[in-house]
Parts: sequence; structure tokens; C-alpha cells
Amino acid sequence: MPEQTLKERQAICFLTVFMCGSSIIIGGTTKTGQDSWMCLLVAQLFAVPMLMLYARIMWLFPEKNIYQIAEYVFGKFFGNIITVLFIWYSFHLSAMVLRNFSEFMQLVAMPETPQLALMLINLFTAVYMAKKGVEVMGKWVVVVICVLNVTILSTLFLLYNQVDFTNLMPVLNHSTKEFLECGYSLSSFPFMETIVFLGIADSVRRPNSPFKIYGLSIFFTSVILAVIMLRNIVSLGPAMLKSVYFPSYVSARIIDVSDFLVRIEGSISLNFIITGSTKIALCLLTACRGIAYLFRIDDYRKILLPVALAVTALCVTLYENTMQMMNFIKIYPIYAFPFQVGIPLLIWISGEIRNRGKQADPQGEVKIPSSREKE
Amino acid sequence: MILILIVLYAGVVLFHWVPLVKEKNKKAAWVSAVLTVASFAVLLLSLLDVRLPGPRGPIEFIIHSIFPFTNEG
Repeated sequence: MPEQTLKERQAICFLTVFMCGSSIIIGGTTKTGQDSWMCLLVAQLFAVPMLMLYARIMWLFPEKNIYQIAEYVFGKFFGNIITVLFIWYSFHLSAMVLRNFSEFMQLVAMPETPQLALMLINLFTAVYMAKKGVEVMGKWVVVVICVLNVTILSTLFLLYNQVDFTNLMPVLNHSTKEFLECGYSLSSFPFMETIVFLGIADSVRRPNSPFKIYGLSIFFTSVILAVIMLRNIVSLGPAMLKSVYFPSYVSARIIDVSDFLVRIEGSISLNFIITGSTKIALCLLTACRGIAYLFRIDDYRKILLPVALAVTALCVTLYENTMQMMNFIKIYPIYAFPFQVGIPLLIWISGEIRNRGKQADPQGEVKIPSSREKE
Repeated sequence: MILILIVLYAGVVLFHWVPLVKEKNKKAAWVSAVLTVASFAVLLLSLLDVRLPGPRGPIEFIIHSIFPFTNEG
């Protein structure tokens, strides 16, 4: 049983910052141009049921993480397979976010700096956070969410002389297929990535409600992403939106208040650095906890640094250039489907069956024997 | 950058791995050793401009084979 716990408010902020992560700089989906903000609404159709399913898993198995749940539900052998798959997903996700960060920094600010240096700097920040544990991270995300909102709102108001609301027209100019594709893509990245949070679900104690945590965090993230997407559309226009890799950065770049307040795009970079580091830290924490559970290591901190270095190694081999990175984002929803939908669905169904079989307490919880708890 | 990498890994071995061995924490030491050596090899080779295969290729191949429509556009 971990000593560190997350309060409900911290867990909500944690998930919100995690979901905002790299999406605030990539700017959600841009494929549907001026209708992108509507894809956010379509995304809720896919994301809300899945996030409620994650919450249900947390509710069924209170104060347990996904590794403990998988072993209880599927037994030692299949539980270990699920654990390995989940470790891989967390590991790969942290490498992908790290690469997003290094590509972004190299493209917009430091073209001469080797990407490895940028990766290591960001990674060590994430390692520090993960080493301090969820309680410290819980306090950190509350500060992050304030900085994030202030930055977004300030860029929004400073763009007052650049906005053109006719950029939102024509409305509904795309096919249903395109809307569904973009909606699912947006639900997969970032909403359903919150499956990673189940790796530290044991830090959320009762009576905190996982439904409230997931529900409020998806609401806050949707509002933040909607504001970002609408800001990008009205300031850049659909054509520009489709042609740039980092629309949020470009929209901050065109801020010009009387030739006095210009070139404040660094503020957007700040957002990405702090939310990106937090997202990487959570993925690292989940991967390390999984590896520690798999090999029966008493403390995940003992393997944190080597795992982080392995993430850097994976990150280096992921893509050869930014174009490959952006192309991979297109197939990412299909790649992530087994981890985001398949495994949680299996765990949930098996959990419900076990729950019915065991005639659990009236609240619907499943009691897991604590013989193998080492975390 | 190669020098920085070597210094970094020397630090990791001295301040992270050696204490684990002294603690006689065999499992953690083994996991750390494997990950450290593998990541060092990959990072060193990438700094020497050796092209290494990543997971993107196989993942894309599998997805394009199962779902041919993902190959369009």
C-alpha cells in the first residue's frame, strides 16, 4: 500500500493537466479546419463512456492500481501479460510526449541544440517529480492548472485585434465520416490516455469518488481545449490551421498590441513545458510501478532513473523527423485501441463477474487479498 | 555530447547502481543494469549517427496490414 495519497481536488487537477499535456500545443485536431471545435463535442461521445468505465474500475477495486487488479482478475500468468502490455503503453507514451516536446523546442526555439540535450533536461524534471511521488505531484498540478489558465486567458485577450469570427464559417462543412474520425482521434489523444492514471489509482482513497474525479476532469479539459481550438481557428483561419504543426504557438506568435506587446509566444512554450513534464512524470511513475510490481521490487524509485534513461533511448529511435511524428499521430488511435479500450473493457467485465460471484458489499467493491502488495 | 553522455552514465553507475549492489538488492540492480546498458548503447549509437530501428515501423506495418484504409492519404 503506498503511503502517499491524492486528494480529490488534486486528482481532478492531475487528470486535467495530464489531458492538456501535449494537446495544448498541438491544438487538438486540425484536420476539419473551422469545424475542429465540433469534433471536441463528438469526442465526448467516445470519451465519456470510456472514462466512466475507468472510474467504475476504480470504484470496483478501491485503493488498488491496475497491476494489482489485473493479477487479481486474470490470475498470475495472464495478469503479468496485461501488466507487461500496460508497462509498454506507459513507457511508449512517455517517450512520445518527450519527443513531442523535443521536436517542438528544436523547431521553434533552439534549432542548433541537439534533441538529446532537450530530452534529458525535460526528463530529469519529470524524474524529479516522479521521485517525489504522487503527493508532491498533486500539489504541483494545482499550481500548474492556475498558470495554465492564466496563460491561456491572457493569450486569448491579447489576440483581440487579430480575431476574425468569419473564420468559423462555413459551419458543418465536413462529412459525418470526417467528424467521427476526428472525434475518435481526439478522444483517443488525449482523453482516453487517462487509462495511465489507473497505474496510480491506489493513491486515491475513499470516500473520494472516481466518477467525480473523471467527470470533472473531462469537463475542465474539454473547456480548456475548446477555448484553445476556438482561439486558434478565429486567429489563424482554417487554411493556416491545417498547414502548421503547432497552431497554438503560431497564434501566440501573431499577438501584436500596438507594436509594444509582441513575441510573447514563449508563454505558450511555458505551458507545454510544465504540462508536458507532468504528463511524462505520470507515465514514468506508472511504468516504474508496473516494472517494480512485475519484478517484486519493493520501491519503484530504485529503478526510476534507469527506466527514464530507457525512455530517452526509445524516444531517440521513435521518429526520424517531425513529419513522421505527425503521421504517427494519425494511426495512434488504432494503435492505442487495445490499451485504451480493449484491456479496460476486459478488466471491467471480469471485475463485474467476480463482483457478482463474490456477493461483495452493498457499495459494489471487490476486496482483493493483500498478500502480494509490495508497493 | 558523447562526453556529456559518458559522464552522465558514469554518474548513474556510481550514484545509483553501486548503492543498489551494496544494498544487495539483486532484482533492482539487475533491472537497472539491463536498462542502463541498453539505453547507453542506443544513445551512443544514435550520437554516432547510426540509424537504429524504432517501434514505429513495425507498428505502422501491422496497422496498415490489418486496416488497409489507414494507408490512404
